Amino acid sequence: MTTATATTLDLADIQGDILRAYGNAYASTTYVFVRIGDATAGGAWLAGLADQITNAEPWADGKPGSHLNVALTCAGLTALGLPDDVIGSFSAEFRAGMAGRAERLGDIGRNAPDRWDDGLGTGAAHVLVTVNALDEPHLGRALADLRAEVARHGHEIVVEQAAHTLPGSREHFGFADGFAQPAIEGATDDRAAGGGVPLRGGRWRPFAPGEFILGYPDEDTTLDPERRLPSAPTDPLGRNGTYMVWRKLHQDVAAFRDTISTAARHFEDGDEAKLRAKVVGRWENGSPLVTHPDAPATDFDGAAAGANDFRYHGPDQHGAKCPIGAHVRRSNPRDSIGWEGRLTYRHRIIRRGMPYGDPLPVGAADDGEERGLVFACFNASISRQFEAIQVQWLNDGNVFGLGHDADFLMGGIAEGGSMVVQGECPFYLGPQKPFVTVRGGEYLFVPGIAALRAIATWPR
Amino acid sequence: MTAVTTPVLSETGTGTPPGNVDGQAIAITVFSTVKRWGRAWLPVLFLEPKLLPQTLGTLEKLSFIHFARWSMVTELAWNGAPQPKTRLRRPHLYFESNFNGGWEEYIDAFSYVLREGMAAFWGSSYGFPGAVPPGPFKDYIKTSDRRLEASHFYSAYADSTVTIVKQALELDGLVADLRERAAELSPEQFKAEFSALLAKGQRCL
Amino acid sequence: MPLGIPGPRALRTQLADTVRAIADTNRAGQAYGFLAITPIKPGHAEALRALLATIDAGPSPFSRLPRTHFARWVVLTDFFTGDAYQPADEDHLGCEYLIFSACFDGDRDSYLEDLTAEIADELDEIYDHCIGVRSNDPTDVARYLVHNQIDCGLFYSAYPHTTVAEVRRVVAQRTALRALAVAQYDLTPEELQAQFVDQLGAA
Repeated sequence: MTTATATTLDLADIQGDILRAYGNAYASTTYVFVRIGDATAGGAWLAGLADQITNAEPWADGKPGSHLNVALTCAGLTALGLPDDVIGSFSAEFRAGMAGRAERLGDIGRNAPDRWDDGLGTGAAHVLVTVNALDEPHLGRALADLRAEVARHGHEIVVEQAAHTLPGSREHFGFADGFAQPAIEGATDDRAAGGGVPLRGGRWRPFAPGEFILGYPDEDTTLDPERRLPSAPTDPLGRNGTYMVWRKLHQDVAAFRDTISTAARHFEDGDEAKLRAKVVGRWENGSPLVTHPDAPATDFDGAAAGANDFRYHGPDQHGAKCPIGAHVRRSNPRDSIGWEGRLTYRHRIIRRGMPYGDPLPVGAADDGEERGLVFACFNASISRQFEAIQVQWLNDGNVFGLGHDADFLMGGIAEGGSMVVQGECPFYLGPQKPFVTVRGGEYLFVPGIAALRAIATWPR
Repeated sequence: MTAVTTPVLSETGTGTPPGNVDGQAIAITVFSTVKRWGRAWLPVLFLEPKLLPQTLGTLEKLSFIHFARWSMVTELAWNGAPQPKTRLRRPHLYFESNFNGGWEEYIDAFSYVLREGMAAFWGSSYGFPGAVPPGPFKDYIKTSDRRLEASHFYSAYADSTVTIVKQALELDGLVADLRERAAELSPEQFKAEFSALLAKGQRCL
Repeated sequence: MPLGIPGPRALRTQLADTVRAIADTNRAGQAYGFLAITPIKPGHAEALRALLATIDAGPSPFSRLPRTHFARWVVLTDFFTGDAYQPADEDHLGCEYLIFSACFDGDRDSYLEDLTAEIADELDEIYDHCIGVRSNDPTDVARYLVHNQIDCGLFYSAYPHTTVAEVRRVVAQRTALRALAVAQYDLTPEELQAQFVDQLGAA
């Protein structure tokens, strides 16, 4: 049995995009999904990539111009010739793939895999190379190199998805994004207040690293007298890696604006900005409704100490400030359902998002253009973490006492949903429209760098 | 290269075998073997569940179990040949639950907030690993639950969760009150009363 | 009426339910929890599973018994499973057993009477695979189930005083009220009142 020993994270072996959000520092990200032609050529190509991967150690010489990170789907592991018993050591949901879990995830109807973009959810996407760059010239050079290497090894690019930060670091609905990342012991301890595990007396502590990185003690380990480690793929694949969820989410900006402005005619003095904030749980600049219920903080800085240090149950149990069904309160409920957060803290993710497409100008009618968000997240257990959030918290409201209400912002699975904005005079907001539609996605494994080399040189 | 490790059961994802699902409702059926001291302890616990003042209250507050039962099986009735006459050496604890919500959330809740209660019910059973951490406890329950997948499971209101039922019961009083007076009120008065109802009942809607 | 506080009539009902519950561990309020474990004829387990799978694929027979909250049939192969969790000398059952469990409104005997009347065909087929039922006598299944009943140690219900019919009524009412709450802004007070009476006017 594997038991825990040292907990120091091996930053030199962990891929850099897991613990560090490049999005804050890098304006462009392109996601390149590659189909492997031949297993041996695939190994040769990955061995080359492994030398270029950025790890999680602090940057010694300032910000590099661009970065590469690599993840693999289960179809990719098969295409690279890994034996069945090794593949069998990966989690069941990873092996099923996102499309294989569609029904459970609510990816039905408009979100169903048969409507996804070509190349996603079909087994054709084997390797995801994420390219982050400071600017267009750096991006262009990195992509040109990558395309040439892919072609030289006889592989094929099946999806190339560009994404860019928008002015003011907003997403398309107009909100600043990316707050409230989990605090991880040994990596981001400083974010514990608001990002860690809530404790009695308003205190917080960082998460055990195994919640997000494979091969380390997780929250079960710390409660276990035998200090057993969580399940992970066969060594050396189970060390310093993690699972990744990648989803391309189309946003219907015109429908969202229209719904809010129509409904706001009956809401507190027609205050559209406030109604939008009630749906999201934060004002557009990111200030949390629970700490700023009446107006946004004028100079809110989400990175400032304490900016994210709040709870729901004590200050706002019944949602008068931040509705129980607000998007950020559902996707990261903290102690919203009571029990000091003990029923929620095993369901956290490291969340990354990057908008794609150009913004729709304010006041413009729908232009039919593709725009939205590339959602990516990292977690040690896709079923316990990402899927639980998606299924139990976003697609259904029962846990929060919201019946079968789906998250209003995400648009729901069926048409015609609604949302209660609690307060002295509650507002019943509806009808919900398909504001967000899944355009495709994959479950991926992000190997440690040594593990990637092992995959590249696996005896075939 | 080491041989493939058996994946820990809590990582299998779907959690519940399909036979145990009807809409939102999920069945759990579990048998465990009871140690000698359990034969004396469990009847006391069943008779006086208030020995665990928090457990039933916590179950109530967690609000995801419609019905649950524990039975201690010490013998099985004889129905004539060819039924073998079985003398059970130890009691066997039968547990069933009719609940809503995902399996993972359910057992997490048991482990984290019903720790003492779970120890009281299963502490006298062979193999009970302790309620915390949840991983081994989940494996313990799942191992039996998977073997006892229901061949048929029925819920009369498969889309209604416990919370929805309890909210609907709370609203019933408010609605009945307005219903009785609706005819006497002017439309404007009615509108005001309706708004008052929606304000009072907002936590249940 | 303030939320959650029962009126005198409801209180009397609850009191009566409580007295019944104290007298019988199979009760919680007005609800009854029934469990019977019956021996399966040698070599019949697979056929029984197949039969139950066929029943499971169609509309549940319990939908014809409006007093049933929940019900299940489970095939129990043996107490001995070979698990590390068990004592080395675990009991063997010697044959397979069929678990039948149901949570329903009211008392046991009248429910079993309804059961054997309403789903006679299915019961006949199912218990034909079990040892000790008198065939060609559908009412014998009720006697048989009682003979093999296992008493509850503890029976818990989240809403012990609410019948299936009542659950269905209040849940439908909640849904209608929510829909009207969302629609209210586009209605005149007259229309609102009329729709309330129309959709929520009957208890």
